[in-house]
Amino acid sequence: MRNKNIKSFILIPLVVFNLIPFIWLCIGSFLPNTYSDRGISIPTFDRLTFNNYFELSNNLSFFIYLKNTIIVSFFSSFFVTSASTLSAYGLTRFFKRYISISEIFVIFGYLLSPIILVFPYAVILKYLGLMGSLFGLILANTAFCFPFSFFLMLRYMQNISEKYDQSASMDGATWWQTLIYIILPRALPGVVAVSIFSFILAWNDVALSKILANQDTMTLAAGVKEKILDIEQTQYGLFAAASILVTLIAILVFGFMQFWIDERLKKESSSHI
Amino acid sequence: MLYVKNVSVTRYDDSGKSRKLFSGLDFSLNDGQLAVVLGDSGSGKTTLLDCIAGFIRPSTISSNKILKSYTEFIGNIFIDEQDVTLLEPRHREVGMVMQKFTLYPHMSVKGNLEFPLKMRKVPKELREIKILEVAKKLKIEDEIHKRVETISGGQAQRVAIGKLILREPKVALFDEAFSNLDAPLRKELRNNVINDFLKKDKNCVIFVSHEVKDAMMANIIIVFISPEKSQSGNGTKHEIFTGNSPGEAWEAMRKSNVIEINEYVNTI
Amino acid sequence: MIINLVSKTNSWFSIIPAIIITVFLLLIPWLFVFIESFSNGISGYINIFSDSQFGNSLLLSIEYTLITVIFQILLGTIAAVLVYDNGINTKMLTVALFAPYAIPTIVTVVSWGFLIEDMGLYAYFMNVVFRIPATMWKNELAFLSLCILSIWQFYPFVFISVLAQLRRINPNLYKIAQIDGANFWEQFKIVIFPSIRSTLFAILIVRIAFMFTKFDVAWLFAGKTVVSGVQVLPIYVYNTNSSIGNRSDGAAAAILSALFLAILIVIVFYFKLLLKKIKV
Repeated sequence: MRNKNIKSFILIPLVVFNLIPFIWLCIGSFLPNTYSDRGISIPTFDRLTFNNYFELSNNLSFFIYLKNTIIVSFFSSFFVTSASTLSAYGLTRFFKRYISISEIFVIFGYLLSPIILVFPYAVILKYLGLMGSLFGLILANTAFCFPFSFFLMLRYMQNISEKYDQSASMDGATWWQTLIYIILPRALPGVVAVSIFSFILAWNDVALSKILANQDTMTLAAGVKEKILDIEQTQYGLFAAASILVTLIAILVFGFMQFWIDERLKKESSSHI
Repeated sequence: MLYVKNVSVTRYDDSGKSRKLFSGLDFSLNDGQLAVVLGDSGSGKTTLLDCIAGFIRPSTISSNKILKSYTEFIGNIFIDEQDVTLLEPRHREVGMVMQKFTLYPHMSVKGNLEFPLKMRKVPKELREIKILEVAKKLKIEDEIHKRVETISGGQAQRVAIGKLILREPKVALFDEAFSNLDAPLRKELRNNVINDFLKKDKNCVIFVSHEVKDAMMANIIIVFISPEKSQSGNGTKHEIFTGNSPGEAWEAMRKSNVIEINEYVNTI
Repeated sequence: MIINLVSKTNSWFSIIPAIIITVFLLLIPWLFVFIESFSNGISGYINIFSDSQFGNSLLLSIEYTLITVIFQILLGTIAAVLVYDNGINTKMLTVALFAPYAIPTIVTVVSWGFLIEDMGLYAYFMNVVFRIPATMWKNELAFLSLCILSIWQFYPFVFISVLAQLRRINPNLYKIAQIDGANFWEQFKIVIFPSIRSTLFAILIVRIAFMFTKFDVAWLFAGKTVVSGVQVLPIYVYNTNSSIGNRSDGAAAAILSALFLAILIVIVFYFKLLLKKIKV
């Protein structure tokens, strides 16, 4: 197999390349808010400060936005994951004839990007009185993430042998019991992948939030942009600190889930032999 | 008791071509009797089991996931004189052990054994008792807490049989269940376990195999003979040999004109 | 018979949530935009077609999509293959390699912005080593900067997908290939590539769809000063829809951008079919 040196030669720079912007921001978040600190200046110890983080923790809006983002991300991820898992299961077991039609629908779904969705949503939500609500945001994010997630789960379910369903049937289980006890554990990596995907998409979203949310319901990403970036005297240190926090939480969530997928995948691959 | 009454199964594929898997299959099996189904792969053995189990029913669209094929079922199936033809698998009192996929990989041995009991809503204390009982009987009580992936093939099939027993079915189906085990193990499981099953619990057992020797113990032998590469509607032919004692059916089969069987017999 | 019917009805429950989402959250907004685009007759479409900015944006989007997707797939696949047979510390490595995708776009765009400005790390480096003036990155080379940034942010998607697929390969296949005397490249062709081929195709379609419609990155990158070199189609759609003009113009722009994406995808499918025919 591959020479370990060649591998490291490529992988290590890649990892560094990946993390540089993050590291750069990290350093910047501990420096005071002067313009010149955005560039290459050697951060001497006396200039390092936690000031930016203090400011953020005192700023109530930050936590409100954080709360909003968590709610929106969690619920849209939940709706997307359960709807796509359920329907993928149902289609591959009971409605096989409609699989090709739904794959076409998936493609139509892709064509609906946030930018196309936002404007009709704005009108419809206004009409329903849901404009600016978290629920409206959740709906919009769910809509955007659903086609791809469904596509993923469909593939996954197709790869789980129906013989397990037959066994479960022989044991006396209904389709719902079969799904929960037998199929879901086997589909776990796919389920986790889909929930992460939709969680991250909602977490990072700026476009939907900017138009469909109001001051109280704005999400973090959009909030950071509006409150920190777009104002006259942009405080870059503050921005850096906010970014680090927002990113850290997202990476923690992802890292945890990835850890889990890794474990499941290793178990799965060894049981296929 | 099992009565398969005049059952015909035809498979229609995407392009409208049809293949008769079997037609006019008619036999009955009393309590404590063993039927063995022989034939080449793809000749319809598994399909017969699927019918008895209930995966193929009248107007069930058993569609293949890639082709939109359709399986037609005509006939009736009676278990203990009740017409179960329209019933779903979980409502028939049937159990099945397959070659693979009978056990759930993500659960332990105990979890697997417990599952049919859970589905039958057996209370927890009673579950524990029954599981231990079956585990002892099948000599797997040391493996109870192990994960299914870590046990050997032979042990796994014992667990699968354990699951079947705990389901307490009236008809027990074995679909090539011992095919990938070695000969001594196969013989032991076949003789001890299945005979136990028949004698003590008085179930009907149907055993599908590609090993002709397995048929020596049968009361009824069903042989599927697929005509060479038949693409017309003719499909598989079948022959049924019966006898009051196991040996009689075997003798009848050996003396018949079924060419394939003679070939097998010659190699014993 | 009653039992039979009950559970047949039951199985409908599994697809009801999906149907609700598809009809109410996707189909209806779609119809809405579609009808809106015709609210002024065909004038919406005519206005858009006759706008030179539309053509420019469309071309830019196609370039952007093709460049970023190709490199995302290349980089992601290489990373996945390398990580796959690296036994040590795959978890940390995987998280580190996935990081850019998990970071909010606002953060990535602005931090890259820092890096390529006057005293930013990258700009400084490129200036010292290759004599490229730092100011170019956000002006003449803005499109290039945008592409690099987009590749960086989204290649982990490919990386994770390919890695997951690689892990489903039976490890025995490697052993067999090695015994047969295959070197790395041959192993790749025989063992790895066949199993990721279909995944890669699906990834290709998905990335094309996502990059063609990617609004955040370009918009945030352009920032307060609208740098003309990066006005991709989604930004054009956004501008048309938020300006005080005919509502039908905006809707038409949206429909047209979806239409061109559909055409792009159809072309890709066609290519795949063509390749299949050539191979056979």
